[in-house]
Amino acid sequence: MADKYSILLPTYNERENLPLIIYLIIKALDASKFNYEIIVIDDGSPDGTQEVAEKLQKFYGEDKIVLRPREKKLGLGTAYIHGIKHATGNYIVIMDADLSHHPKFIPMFIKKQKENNYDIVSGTRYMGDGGVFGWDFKRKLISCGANFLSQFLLQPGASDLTGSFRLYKKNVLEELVNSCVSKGYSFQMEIIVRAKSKKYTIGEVPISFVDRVYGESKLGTNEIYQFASSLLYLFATV
Amino acid sequence: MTMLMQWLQVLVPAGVLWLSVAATFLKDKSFFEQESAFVQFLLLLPLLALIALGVYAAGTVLYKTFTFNDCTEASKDLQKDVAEAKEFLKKNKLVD
Repeated sequence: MADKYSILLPTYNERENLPLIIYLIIKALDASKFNYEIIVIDDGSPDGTQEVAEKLQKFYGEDKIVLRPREKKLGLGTAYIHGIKHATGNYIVIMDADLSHHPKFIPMFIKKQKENNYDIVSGTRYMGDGGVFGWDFKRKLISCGANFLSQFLLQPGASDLTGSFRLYKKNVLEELVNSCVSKGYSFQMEIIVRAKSKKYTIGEVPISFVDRVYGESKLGTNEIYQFASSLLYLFATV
Repeated sequence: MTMLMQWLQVLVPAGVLWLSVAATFLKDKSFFEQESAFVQFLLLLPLLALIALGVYAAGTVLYKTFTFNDCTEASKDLQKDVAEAKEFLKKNKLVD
């Protein structure tokens, strides 16, 4: 059976970005002739994201755009589980729907995966020509510091632990998500650490991340505390 | 085996070894009364290792921060792509 790629798009209030990201995904994947579907998982967005999704589905077709909404904001881990349940592909791509991840990298992930039949391909901002647009010095310092600490303690075999732009074999993602307990950034980190302990192979592709959250701080003391405690938890238990 | 256990597997024997060496030499003489500078170096080794680690960590983190890739091209390309997408969507009446 041919390979099919299910792209999971968890959305919350992405009314403006959803048509744009879907256009770019379809552009990137139609050009490379891969077989794919886009699964939009909207958590009851009050801004009408779901209506926009339905319009797009009517235009592009139900086999390309699959809608699996939920009633309210239920978190990323359960969104993945929900998406996997409805995915008809044998590979799953997870990414952000706010244009910080550019779909042009998806064909690169696919190519990388085939190189060595990797179980996971992770987009990395910390290796090669990967990077981030929109981070000031302080933000870069915190990220590099956190990355160093987690590399030093966990030796994970992947340079970007908190990234969320990845390609997984479906059965691998399913198993990993079901064994994870963290939330937020830590969830992405826990997936990689557990993958390593279960001896899954991880390939990396440098990506550019265009930070779209202008002015707002995605990195408060709460997130930092949660990251640190998650790091210690993984250090001691995995 | 957890990472913690891997670390302990190295640190505990090393720690015990250092403690026994330290105990032997400090039994009769204090640190400053030691005859051999090499012995004093051994006694200070854990502290020196910690300092070296700290310097390495700070250096690496600062280096990575200063050489961090700012992806300005990626941002410009994204703006172009967004403009192209918006044109397509308007033409097909998918956005207002």
